[in-house]
Amino acid sequence: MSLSSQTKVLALGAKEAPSKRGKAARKRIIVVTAVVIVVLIAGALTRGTTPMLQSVVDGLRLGLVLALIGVGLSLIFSTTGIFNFAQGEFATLGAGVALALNASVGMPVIPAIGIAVVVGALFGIVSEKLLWKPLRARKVDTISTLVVAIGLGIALRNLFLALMGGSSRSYTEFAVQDPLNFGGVSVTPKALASIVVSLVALGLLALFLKRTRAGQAIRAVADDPTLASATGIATGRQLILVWAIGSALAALGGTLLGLVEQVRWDMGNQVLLLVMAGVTVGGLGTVLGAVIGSVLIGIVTQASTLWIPAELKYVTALAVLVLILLLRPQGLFGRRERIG
Amino acid sequence: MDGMSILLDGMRAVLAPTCVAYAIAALGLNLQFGFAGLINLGFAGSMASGAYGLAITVSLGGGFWLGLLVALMASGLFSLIVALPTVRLRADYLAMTTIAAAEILRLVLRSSWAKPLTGGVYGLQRFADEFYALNPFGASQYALGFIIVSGRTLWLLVVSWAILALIALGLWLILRGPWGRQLAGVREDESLVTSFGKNTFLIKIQVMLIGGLIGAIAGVILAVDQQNVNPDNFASTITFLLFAIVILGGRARVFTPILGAAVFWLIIAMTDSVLRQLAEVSAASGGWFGQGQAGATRYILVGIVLILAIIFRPNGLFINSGAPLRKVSVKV
Amino acid sequence: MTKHTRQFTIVALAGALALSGCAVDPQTGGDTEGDGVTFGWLLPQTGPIASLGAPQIAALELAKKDINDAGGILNQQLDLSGGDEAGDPAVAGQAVDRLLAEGVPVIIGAGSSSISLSVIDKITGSGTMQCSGMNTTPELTDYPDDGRYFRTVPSDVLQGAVLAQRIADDGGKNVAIISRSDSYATGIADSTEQAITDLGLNVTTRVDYAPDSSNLDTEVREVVASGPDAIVMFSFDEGAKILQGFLQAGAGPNDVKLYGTDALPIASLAEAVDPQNPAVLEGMTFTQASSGEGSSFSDRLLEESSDLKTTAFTPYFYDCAILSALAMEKAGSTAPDDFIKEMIPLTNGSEECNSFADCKEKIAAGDDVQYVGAAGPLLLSEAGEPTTGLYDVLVMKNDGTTETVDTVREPQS
Repeated sequence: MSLSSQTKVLALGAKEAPSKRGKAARKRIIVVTAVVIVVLIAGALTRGTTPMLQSVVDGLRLGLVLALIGVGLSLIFSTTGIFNFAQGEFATLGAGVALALNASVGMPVIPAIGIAVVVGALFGIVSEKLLWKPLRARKVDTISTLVVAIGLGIALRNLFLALMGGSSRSYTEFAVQDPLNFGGVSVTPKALASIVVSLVALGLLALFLKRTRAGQAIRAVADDPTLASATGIATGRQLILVWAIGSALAALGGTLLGLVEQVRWDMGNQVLLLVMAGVTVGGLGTVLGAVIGSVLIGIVTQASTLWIPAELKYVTALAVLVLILLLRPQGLFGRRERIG
Repeated sequence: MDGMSILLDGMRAVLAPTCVAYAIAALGLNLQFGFAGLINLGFAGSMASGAYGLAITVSLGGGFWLGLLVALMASGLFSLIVALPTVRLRADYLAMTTIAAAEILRLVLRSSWAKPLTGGVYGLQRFADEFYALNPFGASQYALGFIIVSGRTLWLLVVSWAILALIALGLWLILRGPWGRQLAGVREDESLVTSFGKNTFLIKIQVMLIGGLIGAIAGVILAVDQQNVNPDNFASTITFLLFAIVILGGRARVFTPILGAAVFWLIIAMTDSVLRQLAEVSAASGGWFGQGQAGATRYILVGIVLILAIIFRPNGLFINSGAPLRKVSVKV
Repeated sequence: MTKHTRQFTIVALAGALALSGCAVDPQTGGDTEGDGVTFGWLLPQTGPIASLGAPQIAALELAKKDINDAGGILNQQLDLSGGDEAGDPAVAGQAVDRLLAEGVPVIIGAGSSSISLSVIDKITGSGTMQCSGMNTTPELTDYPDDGRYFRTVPSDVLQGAVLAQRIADDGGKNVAIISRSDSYATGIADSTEQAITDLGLNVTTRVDYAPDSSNLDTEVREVVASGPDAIVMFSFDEGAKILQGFLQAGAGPNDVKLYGTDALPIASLAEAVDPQNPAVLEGMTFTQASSGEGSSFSDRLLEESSDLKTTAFTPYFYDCAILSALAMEKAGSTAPDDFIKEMIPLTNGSEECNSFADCKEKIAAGDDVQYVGAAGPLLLSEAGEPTTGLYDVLVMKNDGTTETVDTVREPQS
């Protein structure tokens, strides 16, 4: 199948030198930023500066949450070839656990979020041990595992529905906040916190992948699972780590989404398409790509309503995705040699 | 618990036009994905363009048969617009652009901007009266085995089974020939096909087009059965479920997706039936499980069954998993 | 069995089934001889409007209890058999097939208009009656259903007029509208917008949001930026999220007048918006279906099942069940062809009655009754839909509960 065979293509593909890659990435960041800034200036001129800046801040907040949920999707895909359609539910899990601790047990929100992230990580590990690993052991190809992911998504989503009911709910703290005002741009403290927490979490992940041995091993596996196992890097442990990190970040993203918006049984599924769009635009398998792609999608979604009706705002985001992929089929920061 | 009625509920779902439509759609998707390895997550878009092609034509006064023609043309156009720029993309990026295209189509169809033509969130209704006017079975009820269906349903069933058979037969014939071997080549090793001087791009476009047309036919059958089209009937969920059906049946075989569709509807109907009966049993013994819980619980079971099916039959229920792959013992 | 034999067996089996197809006697409706009557329901237990399913089922359970407490229908106990509409016409269709095979005389549902439109041919075509308490789409008015489709929820136009009048009475001049873009909310938003314009008020903006968009920041800002002194919202449970947005954008009930309908989860709304401040929505105004007796059906339902988050459309579904049961009483039969004829007269009679027990007695006494139920008088038209609506106007108090400040009948006659 194409998804599994592409790893072989990968192994044969010549790799660019890391320094060259870094340079190219920097160049693309500049190009993307330049295009975005031009569009934003155009927006500011036609629709006013404040609404434009406001939509950038809103978009940044949304985009970073999408990145938190999506970076796990991206890492898991590039290391295992599994496209985890249940990733949205991993986010809902985090939000739901925090809500249960907060609303039912009465725990303050912040420690509840901490525990939800830990539960998310544990859930990722359990799913790897009980589900994905046995599937790999049976040599089930990645396409068949798509169905497992779809099934897992359906089952979890409806489990949440059965447990928390169909209605939207808020955490007991921070539900309604007076916004801070920065020259006409208003941001609630919780939205600001969401931006900061997302940035810190994603930054820590990038550091971990770059600086630690375990992180470098994960990147090696992501680059080439076959080669990595041949050279003696134990891929099994790396995969557990990937699932733990991916699910923990998704759970964190879910709690932030629940904090700034609300908790609902299908909240993760509602953002799944945007999450997928964000990581794909950025280039699957790269943290930087996931972040920049998701933020781009977030800002486009929010800013587009300045020109077009709100009910079509996702159309713009999806159209941008299609355009970018047509111009750069491997995504903004994906590597060219991976085209099958 | 009444095992017979659970079985009957399952059989009834399998014998419904909906199941036939899903089977036809699965055939189209299997051509793209099973045979050619193209992961088209925008399959719902082909179905939507077929269904809407028919509904819009009839609502503008064009008549049912012109509507069918427009349905096929609309779907062909959609497939080409999507396929021409994207089929060169790597599998995962192809998946993403196609799902984006289908969602864009759905969102535009449901927008208030398109409402004069598409009916917006209300959709369009009653466009298949001309088709049902040809119903030779009349209004009486018919017994298919133990299942009672109306003459109206029987008419649609006969037509859609005939279409299903024709499509399956047609696919079987063309896939046996040189074209089928080229497809396998595209799927397994593209450079090999190219080196024999075959144009893989053209083959992929053909696959997307034919698969899309089959999807449009499925969309039309769904629409005719319900006498209703609504944009939200063609959300990505239906594409995901069709993938599950194809893989459940066994991909890259001509007939297995049909069995996959039947199994899928058996699961949907029988889990529901079991739970509703459980609710009745529980009502008589203290009410620990009510009808109210049956809805969500059913889908939890459906999800679990999908997972278990792949764990125990990784290549699909109707393909012997032993053949090309060695079984490895499970270590948990 | 090899792959091929298995495939052939299945094909052969299917062929045998098809060959055995032959005409049988139409089996429509329940048998009057049996020891019980079963009503079917098709309601959203899962899918995008899953939050509305549980209360509506609870309303039907309450109707069942009321009917059975009063001796049942024609001395038979009433039972309910359910199906999940699931937001998916294919799955809903399967549920309807099952209910029809069970021989139910009436199917109550569906919640969503688009689901109803996809199963109405199947239900009414089989001779069964369909009654919905939530379908407000105009497409269903002239639908060729052989007079077998009814709805107890009045047209959007009526509630829209009540809302618009209330806004004008409160002194609103510039009104913003925010609406979920689906087959329920779009219709009522349209008619409210029309009514507001007709009253000479200004509509500052109308924002429709996609039901599956989780983030509504920009929609909220657009509404607030239009500078309204009154905001009307047409939402389900996501309304709580929108209200949080309004409050944070400085458009809370202290700053502008906020209006909503009973599609919002009114009973739990304040808690959903801010769990720590029950006064958060103090002063927000709602219109709600009224039974015209001071205490509404919604209150009664919440007393019966206190864990419900919303009571949206529950009185209408309750009325569907009671009205169908009364029609059977009056016709002396549970066969649809017999009792469907009684549906419209039962809402247009001269002698008012308010409950199943009450009406049943009066029917037995030979009175020409008019059922005035959980949602007030219905006066069903020839098309099988209410020509009148009775609405309570509720204002939220500082403890998150509401008080009824007015009861309006529309059209005023």
